[in-house]
Amino acid sequence: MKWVYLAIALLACHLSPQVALAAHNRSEVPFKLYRGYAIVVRGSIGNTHNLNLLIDTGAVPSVLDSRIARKLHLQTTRGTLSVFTQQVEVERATIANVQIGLLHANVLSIAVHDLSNAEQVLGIRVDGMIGLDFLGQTAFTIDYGSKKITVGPVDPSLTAVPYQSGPGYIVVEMQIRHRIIPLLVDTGASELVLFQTAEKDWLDANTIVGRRTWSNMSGDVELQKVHLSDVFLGPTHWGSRGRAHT
Amino acid sequence: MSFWARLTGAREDALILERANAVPSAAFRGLLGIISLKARRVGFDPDRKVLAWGIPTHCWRRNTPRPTHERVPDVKLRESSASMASHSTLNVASSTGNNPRSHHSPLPFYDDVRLSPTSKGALLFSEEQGRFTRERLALADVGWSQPTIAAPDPEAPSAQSLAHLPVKLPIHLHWDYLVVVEGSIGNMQKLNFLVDTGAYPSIVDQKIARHLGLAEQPATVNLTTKTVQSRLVVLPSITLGPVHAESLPVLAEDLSFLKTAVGQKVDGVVGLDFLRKCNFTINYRTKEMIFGAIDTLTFSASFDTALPLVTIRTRFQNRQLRLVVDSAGADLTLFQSRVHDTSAFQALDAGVATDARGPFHRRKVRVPEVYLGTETIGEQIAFVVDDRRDHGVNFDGVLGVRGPQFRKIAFDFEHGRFSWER
Repeated sequence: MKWVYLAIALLACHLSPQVALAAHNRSEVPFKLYRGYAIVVRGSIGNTHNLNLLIDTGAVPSVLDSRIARKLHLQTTRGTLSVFTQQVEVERATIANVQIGLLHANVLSIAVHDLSNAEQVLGIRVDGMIGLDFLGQTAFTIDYGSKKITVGPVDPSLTAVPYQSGPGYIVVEMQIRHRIIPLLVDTGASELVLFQTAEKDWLDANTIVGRRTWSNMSGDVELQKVHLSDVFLGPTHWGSRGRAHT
Repeated sequence: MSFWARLTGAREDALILERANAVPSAAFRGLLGIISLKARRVGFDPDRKVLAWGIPTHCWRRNTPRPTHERVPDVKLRESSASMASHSTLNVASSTGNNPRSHHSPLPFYDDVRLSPTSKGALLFSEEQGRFTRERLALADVGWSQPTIAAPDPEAPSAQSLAHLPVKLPIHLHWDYLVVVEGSIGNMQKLNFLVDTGAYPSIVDQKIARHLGLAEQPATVNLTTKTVQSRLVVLPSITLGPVHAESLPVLAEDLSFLKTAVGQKVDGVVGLDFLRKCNFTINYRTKEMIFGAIDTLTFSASFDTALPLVTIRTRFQNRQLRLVVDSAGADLTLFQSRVHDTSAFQALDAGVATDARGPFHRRKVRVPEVYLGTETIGEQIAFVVDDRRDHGVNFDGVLGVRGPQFRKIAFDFEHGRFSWER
């Protein structure tokens, strides 16, 4: 089976997103959940409405499907997008008036790429991937149970860990077998993915149970599947976090 | 009896990406992977720079969010009859014109509850899409296992918000310190829960887990002297008085031995992973557990740590230790690896004790003048156990509640304080 990772991509250059958010009040954005992890909301860009936008905190910057870019007659420049295994040539553009619920960005710098592979995976047309360059300006909560994104203060009863933030992405530290592992937080990921490192001692203790093929913008990559033990995020072991109902 | 445990991790699947062909990116340097977020709820807070996740757990209070599948029916101002079926679950019968209907809703999902001191009833208010509705509720058949609501102050206005009133649960007290209260898991009512502030996470009896058909996964538990294998399950919901949680991960264990210890069946052990959502007081004299507002008790000390367990800074003989406050523990227990030299303690005797996982050695000593925070609890008898040094443990011993002869203890999670009276 081919497993596809939708969007883990970082633009090589530094980003300075110009996002203005209109939502100062608490608001809710309903979404549909695909394959148990992919969050798709309805939104608009300029005068183009009812776009299917994948909420993907691993998409840095946000990505617009090339078909929509052509429809919007965007002027583009060439750029490079880094994915984990290679660099991908993309086009860059600036879009105006991005709207998701009450969230609004006057201007957003995005990458343009063919997202048809995401459609193949999810079975729904994906017109764009919206990352934290758009969403990260205000607090919000994704409730996978009620399938709503709530913009506003985060429930203090939830378990919380600090994160480090970069331009458009955030990193948390997971503890696996007493070793600190910095991880990119990614709502577009279906699995916990670890990079093979030169220091294998902490991985060797875990059980390799198979291999998988994984597709992203840069093509297919091979991965090992392992069972980990003693996995903690903050004070809570990560293996029993109350998974979303799929 | 000491029944504290610390979960060290369940099995988790991951994919390993070989980086041999990876093109280093400045943005990726230092990263060792990516984490998916298939938790029940995930929050991003750029102001505090925290990622939050977890399960909806809450204390009964005003404006507690209601999940959509638990909405109260659209009932316009009319009378309904109701009976208290369990701690915070109501069987409410109401009528809409000629169409009688009934529903079964946990109390926490009402926006507000107001007591009527004259009718011994309550009005349940809910607001939905700007529409304000209310139902009249009569409390009936409140037995020992049912919650009682503090009598309203006759001087107070005719209606009070229950959010500011304590909710009292009668408790069964065993051996003068073990607290058993009644609660529910899923649709199973009248279950007996042992209140154990030294337990993390909570535990459900394996019979209950099997009855509910809960999927199990292996987990590892660190005890004082050994590591044991256990099984992890996720409870669909659990309610104890005003405290309610959904999708709560707990251990599934055979708790039948507790029946021998306490003389009644114990279906679960509720720890601070569940209880910390609501301040509470245990009154050993009146045999009540009171949720909500904390009375001002004579003595108090700040939490030294609050997660995963509450610890209090303790001082004696120029030593400073962190002790877990353990409502299911009888005595003061000190870990040998943490207190090191115990020669200054007056040795009393040595022997073998038994807990849930079997026998272990311990030495009985006398510890002069013990201080919790800045307050003394006097001379204490303590047990020194040969523990296994665990770098993940952030405490040095366990403070049981029988030894200090507490009459009341209170956990104020809002202000991070432990209070007591003796």
